[in-house]
Amino acid sequence: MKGLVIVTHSVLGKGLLMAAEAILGPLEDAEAVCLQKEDSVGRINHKVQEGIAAAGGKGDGVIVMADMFGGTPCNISLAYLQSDRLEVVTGVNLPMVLKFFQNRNEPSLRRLAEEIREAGREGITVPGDLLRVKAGAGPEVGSPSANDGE
Amino acid sequence: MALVFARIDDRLIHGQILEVWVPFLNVDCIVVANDEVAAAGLRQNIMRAAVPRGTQVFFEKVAGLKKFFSSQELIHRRILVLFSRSADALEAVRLGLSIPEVNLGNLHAEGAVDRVSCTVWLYPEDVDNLNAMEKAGVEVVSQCVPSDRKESWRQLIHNLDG
Repeated sequence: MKGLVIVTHSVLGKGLLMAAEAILGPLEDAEAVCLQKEDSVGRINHKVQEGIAAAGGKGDGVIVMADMFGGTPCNISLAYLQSDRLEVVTGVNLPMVLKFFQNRNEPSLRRLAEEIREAGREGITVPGDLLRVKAGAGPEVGSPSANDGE
Repeated sequence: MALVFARIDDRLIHGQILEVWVPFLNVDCIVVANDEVAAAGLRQNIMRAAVPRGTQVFFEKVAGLKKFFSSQELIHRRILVLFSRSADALEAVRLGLSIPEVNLGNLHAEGAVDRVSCTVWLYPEDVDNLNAMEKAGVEVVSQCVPSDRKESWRQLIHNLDG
């Protein structure tokens, strides 16, 4: 079973874990590392290391989710990529976190990371587009003639 | 060539730079002036991948900065230059790079060091370096992101004495 560490600016990571718990119930081996403006690079490294250890870094492997590629949480996490027991995925959103918990027994860390990436991408939609496709080439929703019956 | 913004930031290229300063200043070129990164291909690749399309990134050693800034390649560029420490910014000024103003962004430290703002800690040698830059005509200010008030570093260290 893989562990999860969510590394983010401010309290986003903690909030994502709380949201996931609200949906799935209590979760094991999942840590949020919340970086504060005043944290030094050394302090951030220490917090990330602690998070990885607490999430089970010595066991079956750990997925680290960071909030934004190129941001400090991501940049620091990438230093731990050399280990084959750790994979980093960026752009964390709630569908990614949920996908992790559903599939955390997947043996391949790499494969798990790819599944998480796809879940994250699929989770981003503009539902209005779907409605417009369903309505076909007909009048736009909200236009006066849209619901003209006889 | 327009050197629009010079900043000392121990995180170099990160969220505040990419998401806030680059669009705010409308720069199209970032120069990372840092000897370690100039020699580290992987770190360069990661930073380069994070930078939006249309923004050029260069990694230069501090000693070569003056010459680099005179290159034809930069002639029409709006440039943001990043140093990771005060000593590097001072060296660039001593080597003749013209910097009207330097911004203190993130200078973190731990232990017995003076903290002068939310994101700036200054060791005594930082204070010496910034003093020397000021003597050379550089205005030293602190502003983490554009929505923060821009403050003279004098004001910050004045608060220390109180």
